[in-house]
Amino acid sequence: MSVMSTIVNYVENVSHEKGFDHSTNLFERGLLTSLDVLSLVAFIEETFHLQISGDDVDMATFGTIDGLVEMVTRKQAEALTCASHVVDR
Amino acid sequence: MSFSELDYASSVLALFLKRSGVEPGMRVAMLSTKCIDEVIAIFAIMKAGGVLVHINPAFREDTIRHVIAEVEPVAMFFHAGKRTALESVEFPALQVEIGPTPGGACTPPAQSLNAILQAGAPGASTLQSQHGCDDLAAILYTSGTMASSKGIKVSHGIFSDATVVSARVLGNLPSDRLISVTPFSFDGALSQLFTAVFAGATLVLQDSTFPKDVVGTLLSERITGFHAMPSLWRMIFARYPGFALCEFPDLRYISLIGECFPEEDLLRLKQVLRHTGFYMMYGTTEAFRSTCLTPADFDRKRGSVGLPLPGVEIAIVDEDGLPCRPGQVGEIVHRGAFVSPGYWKRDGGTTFRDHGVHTGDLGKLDDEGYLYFVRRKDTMIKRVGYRVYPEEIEACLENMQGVSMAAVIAGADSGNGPLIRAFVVPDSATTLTTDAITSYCKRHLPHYMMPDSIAIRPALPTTGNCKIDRRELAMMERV
Repeated sequence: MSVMSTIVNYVENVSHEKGFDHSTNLFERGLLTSLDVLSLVAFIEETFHLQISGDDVDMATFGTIDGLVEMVTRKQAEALTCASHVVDR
Repeated sequence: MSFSELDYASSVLALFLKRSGVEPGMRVAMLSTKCIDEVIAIFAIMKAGGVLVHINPAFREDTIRHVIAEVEPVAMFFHAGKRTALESVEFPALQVEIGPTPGGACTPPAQSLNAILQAGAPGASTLQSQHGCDDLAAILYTSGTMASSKGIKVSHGIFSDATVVSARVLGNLPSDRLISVTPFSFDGALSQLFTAVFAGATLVLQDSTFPKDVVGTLLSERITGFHAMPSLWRMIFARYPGFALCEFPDLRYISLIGECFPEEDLLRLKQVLRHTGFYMMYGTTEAFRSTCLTPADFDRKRGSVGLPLPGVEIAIVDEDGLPCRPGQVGEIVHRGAFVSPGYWKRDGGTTFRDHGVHTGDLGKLDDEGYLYFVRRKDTMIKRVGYRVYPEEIEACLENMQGVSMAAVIAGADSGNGPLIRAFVVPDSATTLTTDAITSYCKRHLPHYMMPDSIAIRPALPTTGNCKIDRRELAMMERV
């Protein structure tokens, strides 16, 4: 499953709604509440084996599906670069 | 937006509302996330003589339906994103869409605020509005589920007096830059808006409550005053450790109200905000503002919420209604300024009596008349500033098909208030899962009432008269 569909599935399960726009603000639209943020962070960390710090959690990133996908993709790329540096050495 | 732009825009909108049939005393509802259009609409409703009913966007659909049925609004402002999620709610015929409209078009029969403002209105620049002190200005629904949600009436006189007193106590000046975080359904957010306008200060609207975003705005907007609940500060500490390393040279004061702030956390916050004055306040929506501890007294009277505000009398009374002596714990009673005219369409119950507000809070006064909050008289707990009664969550759970009995108890502190622990006994014929109960709760309870844990039990301990024994349950479960 792609990063996009994994995250969309998760939000659909939490909110019991389908078919929302990926640029829709999930909080304004009432799909997620502040209470869901902690479990969403845990879900992303576990699923994609990433570390998320307080610095990553803002509305620009967590507000939309697009923002979340961008963050996961970027962090995966960073992890790969780090890993290849290790191999180079 | 400048004050003259706000004045003109709200006058145009007020004339539109009057033309559309809004008469003095009629209710106008609003459902929106934080945006500048809300501010235009709030002033427009008041200029038209209407009564503002701001519905907290955290409310669930059935609570929103209840509020709308109870206040019978003639008009409604709503944020584009909110409308689609509320298919079962019957809105009044007159609807105005605020906030960014996707694609510029809005869904009929709603009209867009932008179009109304662009059309203008003759006479807007000279519109005068007059209100009597006792005229109703707003009805505040601060918390609750459908069954319990009560509207608290606020008059223009209360808003006006509270604005002048707040501005004086906090020393607000035109150079102030205040941040507005909580929804305008809270008395604190409205009071801050009016105080900012009265003082000619700048108000920065903060929609995102993610700790990093709030801290970012404090720094980038050089905020000088911040009114918030302790739980917001505790959340910032817990989720955004970078906060403790920041410097806030512009932050002149913060004011804290709404719930207990454990001393350890308060002092940790004081360490980060070394140059900031702390105002510790106490009040209930029924009595708007009661007391304030100024920065000068912060160290000397630690743990106190200060002295009564000008015009307010605070008394501590025992079970028989007789005044307590200093140091003795009793119910906090507020008399004098800021007392609400009562609940909308409900009697005052045990709260409004003897010309005062019986707060249901236990407290004590010291020899110098400083107030100390002790605890609630009843089971009510505060979660992120909202009032939560465990009985309401139980009632919601017991409405779920397949549930025969439910008990909710408050556990250890979660940082946002006590943890909410729910215990559910299913009907003998039903198999229930905690997942199913969780998703039921999510549909029917606002986020601040969601249980932190749900356990399914074959039975619950009861007292002699068949009531659930919460104390026994707490002992058994070690919460």
